[in-house]
Amino acid sequence: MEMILDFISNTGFAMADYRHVIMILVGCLFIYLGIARHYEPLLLIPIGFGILMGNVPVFKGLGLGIYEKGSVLNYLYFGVRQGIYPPLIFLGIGAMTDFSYMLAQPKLMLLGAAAQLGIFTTFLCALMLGFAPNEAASIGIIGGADGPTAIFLSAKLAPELVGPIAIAAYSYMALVPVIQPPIMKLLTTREERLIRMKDPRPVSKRERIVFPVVGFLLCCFLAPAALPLLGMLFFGNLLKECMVADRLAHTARTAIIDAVTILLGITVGASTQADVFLTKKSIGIFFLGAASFMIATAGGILFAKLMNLVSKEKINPLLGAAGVSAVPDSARVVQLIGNREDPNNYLLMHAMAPNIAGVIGSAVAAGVLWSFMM
Amino acid sequence: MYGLKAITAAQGWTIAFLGIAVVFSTLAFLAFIMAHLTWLFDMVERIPRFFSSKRDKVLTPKSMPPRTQPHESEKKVQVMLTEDEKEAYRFFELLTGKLGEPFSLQEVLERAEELGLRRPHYGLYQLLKKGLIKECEGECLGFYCWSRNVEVVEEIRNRSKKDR
Repeated sequence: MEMILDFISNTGFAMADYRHVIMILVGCLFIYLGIARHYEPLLLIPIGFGILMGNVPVFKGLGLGIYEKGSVLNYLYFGVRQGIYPPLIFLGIGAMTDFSYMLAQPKLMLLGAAAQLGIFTTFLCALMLGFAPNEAASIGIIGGADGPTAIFLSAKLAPELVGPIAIAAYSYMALVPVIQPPIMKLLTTREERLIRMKDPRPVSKRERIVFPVVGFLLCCFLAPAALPLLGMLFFGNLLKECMVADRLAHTARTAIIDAVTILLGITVGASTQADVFLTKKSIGIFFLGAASFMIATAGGILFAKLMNLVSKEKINPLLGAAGVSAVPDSARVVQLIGNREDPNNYLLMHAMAPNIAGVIGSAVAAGVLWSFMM
Repeated sequence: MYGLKAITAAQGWTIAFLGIAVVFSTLAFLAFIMAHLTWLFDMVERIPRFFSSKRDKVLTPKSMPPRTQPHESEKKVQVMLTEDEKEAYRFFELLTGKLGEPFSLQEVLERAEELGLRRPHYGLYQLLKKGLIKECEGECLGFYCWSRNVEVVEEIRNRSKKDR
């Protein structure tokens, strides 16, 4: 009888408290959103299941928890702590991405820069709320709407906040279709939303091959701390465009990115153990992350309007919202909103230009913040 | 520490301002470079063309066939051209007038393509076939020039002559 009681007291049911229940519900919500609503399923399902794995109560000292040295999860978490997974994801993104939309309309790259306003504004807000500079920088990067970049920077600057920051970043990325449309409608008039863009010019193969080399050298000479992310992004793209390393490009955009996404999702999810995650700081991070995302969206739209004041060729200001680097969701939202006003207005390919520029911009911003905090 | 004091103490304003400036200047510079990349490629392509045209000009006075009026006794060959061929003939005559004789067929073709002539290969082939353009000899072997003893006859005029 005593053995049975001992066994019962060692089960998760006996050790669980309300915090575990909350986190397990959050995990279930992520899995539901991924499967039923198709919100970033490739990310939300691994993260959601990781949350479940991280919040099953276990005895400390048995080497089971993610924060316990020598545990399997702790070994897998090494890739997050040391910032190994995000550059590998960037390699895959580079091998998947077609930069030609951006190369055809280089001026739209400025919208990708303007949307990074959210990062720095939130950085200031976080400082005002009493966060340490390292933490503030990690929170600010949520506004870049780029999960790997947010994880990379927070692993370097505030490792204890990786869990909440990653969850906030991926949650808001998944909620792009909910967060962005009201801001887009608020800041634009119907006439502006009806603006049609000129067809982009064809981009030669030579331009597409030269771009990753020139882009990498230029960005990394200006912001050397962005080297791990941008180096892999541009390298992946060169593999794709050069046509002679197709096997490598194929591996980067399938096997590597898939394997790393699974490991990243599971470990980031598991790092949200209730006792570490459910704190006042996490609430602050979620609040600031949302603000950062909204400011980034507004920044892009307002800058597009500003460009219209000085440029002869009008830009549809909705494209500014795609400057946040949630690829390709924010570009899809732009297309959706533009289409509601005019079913024959196709903005998707134009929106991909600021969208991809946003990826580069947020990586540069992360590099800049990292170099300032070192 | 909270509020504006916290920002000032952490040099937040400077970091934010410099951060935005670096992100903007990086992407603006990248956009500028990418916008001028095609122009840069054109320039790189023009360099060998420039030198080859210079070489042609150097060769012209020495080795070009003399542009003397044909002797009255020299019999001129008459060729008839279709409307399309006549258009190509006029186009290439103007183009080679600018490039100078003797000319490289490859260069003439490239320029014709750039200027948007329809089916430049075909047009040039017809002029070669009918003897209006011929290959130079001697030092200029490999270059081409216009034949002096070939005359283009208007097709309509010939018909009217026959009718009479």
